Amino acid sequence: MSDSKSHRDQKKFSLDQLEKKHIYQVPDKYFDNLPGIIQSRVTSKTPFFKTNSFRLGIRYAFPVACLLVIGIYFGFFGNQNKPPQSVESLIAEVSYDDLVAYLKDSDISTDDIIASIEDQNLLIDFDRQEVDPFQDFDLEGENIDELMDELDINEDIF
Amino acid sequence: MEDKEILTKFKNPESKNYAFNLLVRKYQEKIYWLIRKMVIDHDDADDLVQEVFIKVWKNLDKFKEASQLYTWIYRIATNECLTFLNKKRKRFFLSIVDVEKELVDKINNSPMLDGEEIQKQLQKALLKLPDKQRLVFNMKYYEEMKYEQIAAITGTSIGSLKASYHHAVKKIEEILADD
Repeated sequence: MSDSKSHRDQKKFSLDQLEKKHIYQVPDKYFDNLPGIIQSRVTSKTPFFKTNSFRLGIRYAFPVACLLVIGIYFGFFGNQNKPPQSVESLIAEVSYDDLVAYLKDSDISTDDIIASIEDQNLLIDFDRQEVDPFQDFDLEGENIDELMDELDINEDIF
Repeated sequence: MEDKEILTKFKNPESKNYAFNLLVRKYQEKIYWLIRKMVIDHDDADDLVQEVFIKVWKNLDKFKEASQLYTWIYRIATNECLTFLNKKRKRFFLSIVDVEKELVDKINNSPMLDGEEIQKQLQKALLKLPDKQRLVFNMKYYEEMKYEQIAAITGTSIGSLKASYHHAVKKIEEILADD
């Protein structure tokens, strides 16, 4: 026992024996440039933030992941009498802002979103919008005058 | 320039930016080194220093001159540090590696580190302390602050700080003796 005590004493280390040294280094001219960087951040109108994809990913993926977990849970272990909740209804519970923020931050393109919508009736027919709205009218002669009267367009339009 | 003078200039809209620039130049190094010793990594320290001074900018109008300016800035810096480390721990909650190991790896591998092996051993030993105790140790040992100053920054009693520092030194000496 006395041996181990003497061994411990022998190994005793004192902080006073150690020279105080700062071992960390900074890039060249770091402190010369830092005030300018901070000044530009505080005076800029738009809020500056470094993109931390991990943090953003967690922030926006978390609600979606939670809903998926809940969906899977109820899908497998939920009450059999109740009709299973659809993915659409689950997603409907996510707020509009969260969905927009998530989609904005994710890599999903507009084409992917359109392709994933099964009900094609929901899709806007962009081609149709470009069709001339007057195509159903026979715009000749008196018909033009009648149409102008009907639409109450009496002034020169050109 | 004295803090009082900086504050007076800061309250004047025409010299606000100038005063803030003076303030950053006056305190940037002290705040940086305080933070750097806590988070080890330069990029993290850089982010946090900027955040500290942005908070100073936003809240300096509300600063009550009852306390000293440097105490107030240090308090913001210590809060930022501890919050950062807490967040890091929460993020690592489900991970195999822990924060201490990550910081030790940074000491081992960072190119922005100089010094003898014993100095690195000291930094690694410090990482075994709880964050708040490490903060107190750094302020007392490296910054050579008085207990009264540390008490004003941390809001802890002088007696507790003395006990905390004494305990930290003992622990570090034991760790370094075993290494």
